Amino acid sequence: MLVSWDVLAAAVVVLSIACLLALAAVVVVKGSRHARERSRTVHDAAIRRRIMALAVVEDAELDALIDELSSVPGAVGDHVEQTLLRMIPEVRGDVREAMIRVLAGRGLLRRSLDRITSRSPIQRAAAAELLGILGGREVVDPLTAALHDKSLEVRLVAARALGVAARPEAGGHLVDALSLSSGIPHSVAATALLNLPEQDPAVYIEGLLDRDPGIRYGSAAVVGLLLMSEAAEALFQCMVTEGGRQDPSDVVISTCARSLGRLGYKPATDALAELSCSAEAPSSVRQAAGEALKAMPGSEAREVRRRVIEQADADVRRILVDA
Amino acid sequence: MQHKILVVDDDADIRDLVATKLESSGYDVETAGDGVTGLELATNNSYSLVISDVMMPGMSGVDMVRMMRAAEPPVTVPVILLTAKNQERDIENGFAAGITDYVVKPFSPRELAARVAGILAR
Repeated sequence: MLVSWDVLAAAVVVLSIACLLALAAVVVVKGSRHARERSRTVHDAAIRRRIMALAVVEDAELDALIDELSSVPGAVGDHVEQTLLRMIPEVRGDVREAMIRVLAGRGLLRRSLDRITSRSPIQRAAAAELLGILGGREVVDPLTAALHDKSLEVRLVAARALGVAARPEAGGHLVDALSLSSGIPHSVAATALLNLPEQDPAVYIEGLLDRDPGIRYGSAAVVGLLLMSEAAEALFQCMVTEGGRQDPSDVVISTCARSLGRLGYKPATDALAELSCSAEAPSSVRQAAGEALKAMPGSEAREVRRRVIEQADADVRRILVDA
Repeated sequence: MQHKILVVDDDADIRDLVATKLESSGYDVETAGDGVTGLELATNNSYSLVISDVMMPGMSGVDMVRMMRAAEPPVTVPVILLTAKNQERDIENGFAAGITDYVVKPFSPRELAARVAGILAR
């Protein structure tokens, strides 16, 4: 098929215009990036030494420096906030406290508390993240409320933020967030729980009795990772059949067994041995019991392991032979 | 004699924070933004101590220390590694490479300065 010269010429013109437009877009993007970098350099020069001084200033001068940085206006003030938000996750101790006081002084706490009820889920998630960084008693209630946000993204960010804020009173709410219906991945809620200080074992003991298997599973796992010996008997009760309340979920039973192994809870040794050889238990439970038995300390446990090796299936034997 | 310390970190904020803290403690501080520059400075200058981040573009802090120790002549300056939380492998590799101590991020600048003083007092 022949194409006329006119059509070819038109195509060349259109292509040339498209190329020019693309080139112009690249120039504009690069130009704006350079402008941003230039303005960052200018703002840096204006304020960076004062921000860094938060790490070295004498106690008597700290309040004045915090007031000074809190009241820096305009773009330089925004630069102060951005720099501190980048640095806070990397530092702890009195420097972190001083940085947070600057951000609170600049109204970031108030603005974030307002934004966490915004109509936009992006705004709510951003506010939740900032509240986690800012920490303190006043962020717990809005963040625990955000665990029930209609947006999964906001719920996820709120769970992470509660871990960053590290307030012990958030424990029960994060245990609830382990439920299967929350949509929050177990790893996120559990990681947040591992960050909390001074936790109450009763929260986890209650969690092990919850109707939701997600909460029972998460509670069992976190108790083991936290080495919370106060909850060992409750774990044991979830695992055993006779005289106890064996959990209906094999995953929960396996997790209880592993956590009992981590805790080195000696009264569970015989029950773990029985479970690791049980013909009724699924292979995953037998192996979890074997792993727990492997972790048990003391000469009695060594003797029990020797006995189990003679009776158990090949998978459990393989686990125990290395012990 | 005033101690000279090299701080190697690709994060300019943390590099400046550590440098500011150490300068306020009376040390002379030089900085590098990556492992390659850090290695070059460490092999061509005399420092009392090196503080280095682990994860950096080009060359990690651990590799930098390994190459310092393998240089001819070896650079035997004490090294503190700044490592992220839960990075036991980095710490293990760091000690195998010849680091003196490590500090886990998030870190306390005050504690870091105390560790520096302790190492330099040995």
